[in-house]
Amino acid sequence: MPPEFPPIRTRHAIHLATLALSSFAMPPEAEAGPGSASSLSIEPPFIRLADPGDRQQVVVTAVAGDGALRDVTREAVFAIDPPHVAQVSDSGVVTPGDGGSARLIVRLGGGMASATVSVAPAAPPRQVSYRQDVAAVLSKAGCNMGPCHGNLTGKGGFKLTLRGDDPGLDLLAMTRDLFGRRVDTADPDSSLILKKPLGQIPHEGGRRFSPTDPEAEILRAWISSGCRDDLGEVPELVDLSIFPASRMNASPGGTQQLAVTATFADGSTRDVTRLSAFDVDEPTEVEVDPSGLVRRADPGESVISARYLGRHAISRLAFLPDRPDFAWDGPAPRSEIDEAVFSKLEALKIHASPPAPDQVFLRRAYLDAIGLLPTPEEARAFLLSDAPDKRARLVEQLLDRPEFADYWALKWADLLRNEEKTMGPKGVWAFRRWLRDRIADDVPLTDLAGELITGSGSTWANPPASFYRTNRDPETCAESFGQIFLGVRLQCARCHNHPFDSWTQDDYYGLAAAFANVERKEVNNQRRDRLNTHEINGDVLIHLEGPPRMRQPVSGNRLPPTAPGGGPLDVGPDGDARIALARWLTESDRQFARNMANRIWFHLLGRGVVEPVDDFRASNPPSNPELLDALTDRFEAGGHRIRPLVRDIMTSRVYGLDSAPRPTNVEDESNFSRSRIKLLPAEVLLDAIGSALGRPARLSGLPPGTRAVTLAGANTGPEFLDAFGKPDRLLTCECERSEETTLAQAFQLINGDTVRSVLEAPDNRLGSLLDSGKPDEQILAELYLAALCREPSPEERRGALDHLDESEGRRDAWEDVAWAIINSKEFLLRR
Amino acid sequence: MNRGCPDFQATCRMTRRSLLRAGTAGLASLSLPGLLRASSGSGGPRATARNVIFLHQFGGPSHIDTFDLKPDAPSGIRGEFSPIASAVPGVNVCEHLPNFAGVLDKVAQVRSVHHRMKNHNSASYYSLTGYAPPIDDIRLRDTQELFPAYGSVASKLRPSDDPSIPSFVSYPHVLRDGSVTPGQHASFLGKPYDPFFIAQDPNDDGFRLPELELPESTPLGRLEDRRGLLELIDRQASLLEYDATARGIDDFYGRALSMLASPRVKRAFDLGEEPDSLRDRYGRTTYGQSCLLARRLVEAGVRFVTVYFSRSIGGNGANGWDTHQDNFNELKNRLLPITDQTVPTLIRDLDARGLLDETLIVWMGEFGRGPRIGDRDGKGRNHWPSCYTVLFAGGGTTGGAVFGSSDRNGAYPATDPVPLERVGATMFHALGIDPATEVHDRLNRPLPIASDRAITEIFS
Repeated sequence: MPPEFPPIRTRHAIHLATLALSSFAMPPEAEAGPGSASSLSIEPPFIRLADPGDRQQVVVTAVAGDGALRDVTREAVFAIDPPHVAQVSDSGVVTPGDGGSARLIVRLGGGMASATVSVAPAAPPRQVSYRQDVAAVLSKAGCNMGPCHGNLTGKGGFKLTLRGDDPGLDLLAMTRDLFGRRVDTADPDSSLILKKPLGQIPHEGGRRFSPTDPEAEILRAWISSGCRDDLGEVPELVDLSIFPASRMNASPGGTQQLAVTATFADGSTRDVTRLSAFDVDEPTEVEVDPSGLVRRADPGESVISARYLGRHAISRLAFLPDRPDFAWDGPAPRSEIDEAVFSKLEALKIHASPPAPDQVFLRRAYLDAIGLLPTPEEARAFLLSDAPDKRARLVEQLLDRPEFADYWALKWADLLRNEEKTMGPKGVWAFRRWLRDRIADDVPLTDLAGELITGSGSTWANPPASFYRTNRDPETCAESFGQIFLGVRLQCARCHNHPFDSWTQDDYYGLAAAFANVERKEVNNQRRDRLNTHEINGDVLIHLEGPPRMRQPVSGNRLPPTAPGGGPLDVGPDGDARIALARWLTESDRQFARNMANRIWFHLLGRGVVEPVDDFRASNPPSNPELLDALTDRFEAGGHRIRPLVRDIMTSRVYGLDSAPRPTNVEDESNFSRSRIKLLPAEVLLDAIGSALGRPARLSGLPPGTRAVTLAGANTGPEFLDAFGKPDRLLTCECERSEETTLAQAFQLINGDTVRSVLEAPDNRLGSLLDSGKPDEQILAELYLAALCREPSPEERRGALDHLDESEGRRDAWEDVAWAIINSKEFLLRR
Repeated sequence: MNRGCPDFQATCRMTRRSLLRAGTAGLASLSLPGLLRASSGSGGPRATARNVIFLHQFGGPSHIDTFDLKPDAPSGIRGEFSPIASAVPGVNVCEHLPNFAGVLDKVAQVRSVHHRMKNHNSASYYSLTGYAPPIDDIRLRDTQELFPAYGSVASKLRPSDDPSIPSFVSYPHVLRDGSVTPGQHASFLGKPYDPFFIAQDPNDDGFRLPELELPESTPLGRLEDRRGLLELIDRQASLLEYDATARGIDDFYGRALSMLASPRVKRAFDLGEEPDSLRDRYGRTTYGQSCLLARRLVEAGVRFVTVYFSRSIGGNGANGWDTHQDNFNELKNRLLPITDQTVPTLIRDLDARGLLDETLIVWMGEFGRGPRIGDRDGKGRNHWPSCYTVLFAGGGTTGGAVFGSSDRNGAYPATDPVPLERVGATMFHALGIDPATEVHDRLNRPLPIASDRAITEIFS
């Protein structure tokens, strides 16, 4: 695997710079000391400075013989030849001198590289621009952050738009509010917008920059030239790029210099590294200084987002651990899924855990695929089998089980919010039955989505129309559509353009417009509380009324239905834009397939490739893009159906890895180097206790033997389910199902009624085993097999038998043993 | 999240906020309070509270008939009650609060709290969290999009020192007006920060906690046997060695078992240990015994105790403070006697035990009541969020202080208007938690725990 991530553009850039080096024909000396490298490269290889105010940050990379990359920008020695043409700082910033052409020469150890510098004396020097410079400073210095002046109510009476959303308003706030007291064009240094961030007068936000920093110089120059707005006079920003966009960095010091380039509408480009604000995904692990130098203390991966004038550019950096003796020893890949995961692990110098033992795989596969434990007979059959493909056969059997549909319907019922209050006592069962049948038939998820989006008529007769029973206004429909079908959180764009993504309010209300004429007629609704319109126990008829249009609250424009990020949607003669929306979703846009593939992976591996699964955005990239592509390909190849992708994933090597860590992967969270350990979902845990003890917990109002997984609504079932995180289904988010461990759970397990009623039931597995007259050792083995899919260890056997010997009541003593088994971490967790 | 450039981070590294950030990141959280106090010199008066007792009166107590009387207002406004002098010269209180009159020198009143929510559920959510609800409507739904209870925030940022002691305990009611009132649990902070909720009535003779009671069939000794067997199994897969979830489960088992075994916890809930005379002084009512329990819990180390006065908004013979009808009789005969018996006793009791400095008591409802008499039966007062009174006592607040004032009719703030957001900020401030500390919701949006500043004016 090459040491770079895609995209290709990065590789191309390195290639160019290496060419420049080779044309310079300076053979690098090997072994010239700790800083030595096989070759050096400079980015960018051609430096053009057109204005006295221009600057260019260069990035110097050392490429070792084995292809490993190190950022050496801060170690390298720079020189300009001839020197009068330009200057270069120790940190690699080139600024104009007298003009002309020159070479930037970089030396490190024995290595050397050069880049071309051309300084063209421009016509009139560029003025400090409000739109290009000052607006950027407000973000760079953090003034317009949410906790500061970007707050909805401002701070200290001074309010800016969040992250510079509207520079025009910000200009008014600085120059007009408070009678213009914040700027003093006659004496710029006494302006509040300088004195406050310089810390010269008390400022709650502290000192943001020093008087000699570019931030101060830009503000000072702009104020002294009269605080002009230059809207329309300067070209608009059309693109922002960052170097490196992605890199596996082997620097022992954990540093990487970034360079950010802006491209404007007139085709000009400019280095804006010093004007960009940098956001990081893990502020405790990594920091970026104002010059764009990234520092990360420990090996690991970081996503750095550079922000300039409302655009973002993302750099994905992996800082490699120092493991010179690392040798990949993982199993041979079985599919593209394995290849994608293993090649990244190898590049990151992280080992995969070994394959899980049979009994661990067995328990995991049952729990993940059908939400049940194997019976002792099923467990025995699998464990005793010698068939080389027995794991694949097991997966096949599980896919055919009716419980598969029950369990995967539960996941969808969470997401589609099947709860009693809004859906009604009859509605939850109708909707669940429909969901379960669709999944049992393995219909393509494109069809399922289409039925939900275009549903009309009676929600009892046509349950997918319930999508509009749950989502009761166009805005909520749009948000749910984005979150469920695209894996995108549009909520931010309801009130302002999304601060971390490209979604605008026009996108939001354009999508909402497709739902604007959906009307709901309630039939026979006999709610207990007249005022509580969430409570709908009768039927609801979904129909359309009038043309679909939505007013964008800020611009006031009436928007036609528009696909998010796509074009306008065809509105049918009956005013229905939803058919075109469903077609766009399932046919023209691959995001639906990416999102669904990611969700299925999440359900089986416990973490999405994009995580959280409903937060796809540029600044939250997939941890392994090749993996997401492979999953999406497989999902599409399987006809957008759940089962084929589940089969592909469950038969992969990656899925079959053990959960026990090795020294190199103990810190790994996002690269699937080992199986993830998770608390069983509430319903699955309750069913597992019932199955281990051979007697399902009684669910009130339902026939004995009903499994908790098959409950239709959110509010039926014992308190046990609530304690273990069964969601209320009020949010369209997987995150509503809690995976947290709590005190209430411990009390449920230690002395809760639900567990006790199963444990102490005379007719449970203990009862029948004791009645069978089997010896204690066999009873114990059977219990272990039913609960943990394995035999007890000699130590466990001795402990249990000793306890039986020491106790007076035999049944009580067995209850103690069974209690310990179902309370063990091994039982409670999927691993 | 951009937290400013590294230069800025360096310059502010030793400020309160950055210390808090470190604290919330899990570093040095135990030594944090000391550091905070040491470095909060410029941030206003120092906070001394370790605990908060939050008394919530559901339904909306009339401010104009209790602590902010308007004897000079026209008869259609001033009401039937006369003012009496209190322990603070020049500060009057309702004639039906004679015990309160004697402790007002330990109470800081804020008479200008205001907001705009006129429905019980929306206003109560606001008063329980400090966050304005998205809609002012009875239909406000309790989802994880809404803000957590004050106690949940406190238990996340300042958990109890002893892990076997819950950080946040609430009782004895779940507020509901039609549907469950939001703001009573941890919401997006996650279930670990939910209150330890007690549904039993502390005034019942058989008051006991089922969670803390083992069934007869499972005495403590048998539980210990079971625990021994469990540890044996847990050793096999060594999950505890490498998995945080497994350790988390184990921690909570340890806490649950130590709560079951700990005399300290059980005793905290055992009101029978209190002398009858003191129990009588608190009042043999649900509210009275609840407040006594609050004192015992705080003594045991619980960080945040919330006592709900009633389950429903009440009024008209039920339990709450929603006096749309027969306002004066309801207050005089039912609500004020309970309040006047219990709250001053709690203040005196904490004071006598030297606990008042480290315990902040907050007494409030979701709103006050309208100045104009004549709702429904002609003798009621309607909801009134535009101006009402909130009481603070202890925790470093200035006894006898009156901050803010209402206009001559008690209708709108006349001086120092105090947005409701500042009440929660004041509790956090008292606990030494910077109200600007951010928590993240389910969409990972950073939100300050309070969106306004503390009422530092009432601290000395």
